[in-house]
Amino acid sequence: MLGVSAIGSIVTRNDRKWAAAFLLAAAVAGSFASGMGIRFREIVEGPFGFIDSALSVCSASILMYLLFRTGLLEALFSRICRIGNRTLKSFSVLLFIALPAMFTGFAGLSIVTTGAIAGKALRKGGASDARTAGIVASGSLIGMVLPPNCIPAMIASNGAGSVLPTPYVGFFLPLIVLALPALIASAFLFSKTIFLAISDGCEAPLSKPNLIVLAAVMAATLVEGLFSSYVYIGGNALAFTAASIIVLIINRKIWSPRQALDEVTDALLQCIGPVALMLALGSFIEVSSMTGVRGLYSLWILPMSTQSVMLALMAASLAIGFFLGEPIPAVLAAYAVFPIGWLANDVIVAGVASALAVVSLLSWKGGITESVCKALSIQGLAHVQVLKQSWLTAALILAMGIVMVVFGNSLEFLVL
Amino acid sequence: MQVVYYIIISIFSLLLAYCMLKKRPMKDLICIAIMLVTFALRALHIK
Repeated sequence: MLGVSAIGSIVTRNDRKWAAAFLLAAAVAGSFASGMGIRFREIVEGPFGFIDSALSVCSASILMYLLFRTGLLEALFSRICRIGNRTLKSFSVLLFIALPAMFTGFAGLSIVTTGAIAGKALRKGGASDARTAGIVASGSLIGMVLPPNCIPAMIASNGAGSVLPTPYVGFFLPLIVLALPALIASAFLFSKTIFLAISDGCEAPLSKPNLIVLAAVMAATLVEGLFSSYVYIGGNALAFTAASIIVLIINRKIWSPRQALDEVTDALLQCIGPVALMLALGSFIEVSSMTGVRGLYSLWILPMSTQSVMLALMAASLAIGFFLGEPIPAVLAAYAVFPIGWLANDVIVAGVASALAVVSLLSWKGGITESVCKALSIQGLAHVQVLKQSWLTAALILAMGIVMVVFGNSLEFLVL
Repeated sequence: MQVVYYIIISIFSLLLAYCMLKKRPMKDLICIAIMLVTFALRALHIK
């Protein structure tokens, strides 16, 4: 199964959309190799583990893409450009780049929306291509890790239980703790470039109704994340869907029904890669359990310390991810959580997820770097040059991840 | 709950048809198909 996935990564040069097809093919191959034929039930039941998370990611993608297309994000950026304080401006720009990835849980939407807006301004202001790509890559990576949605944490949480769908709850504070040091350090690291390059530019009109929708959704996710034990507002997917419908109604004069459908389609096309990857991964994990691989793995690691197993698999994720992209590290993230199973607390799971998040930046092909260069039309920029700019962000996320894995039991109070 | 899934299935079916008409790359169509099949089977799974 790992072989099929690895061959897929090599042949398609780590193309994430093909990765989903190859992971699914790997699940089918595993089912065949074990002499069980095509076990349809396991192949389709595995993805059920991610179905709730997939809904949240899809609905968030629609909302953020619609808000981008209304021009709200550009208007917000023009307000951020006016900030006079250097540190505050740097924080604001990084959070602005991170915003779509925060909601959707993957870096791609940030790169093509807020990343493209900020990147264009940075290059216009004289920032070098490498620095610009580094800032956009760092902001997108931080956004992917920040709550409410974080696909690496969703994947890792699949290893924490056998309930379908796997609950993705209680990650709000652990993910903030995971991303905060990287955000603070990156804001200081990039403050000079951001302050000098991004100046008070052209004024884009700010649509107050759209801004209110965004603020309301942010408030709803905050309530859902921090007070879900006391208040039930129907979940993030419902909030995002309702907000998307409101945005479509508010902007009915901008878009005809046909254009609105096109916008929703484009939004869904942004997220199909990461979501299909999650669902195919569900098949892979379920089939590996059915064929006894998980049982054998459990037997192997029985005499070992669970923390050592987790840290070893995180290290393996980084090494494999550099060459082969995210599919195999995603499997390893779920397997890293298996030893603690349903006893896993979200702090440890978030810690394990940090390695998978960093892989998306580290991957030499098909990762964040390639997407950033494509979105900003930067040519001839080596992967290492972007890594040189954004290594600190990745290193701090990984360092916090290791701390959370090692001291996760003492940090359990972060799980609300 | 099934109604929600059937709405989602309808959206993904339309999306798949739309992308086929627009001759989107095969990898896009496979990704949509994976999502569509998962949601459809989940809807059938709910009793």
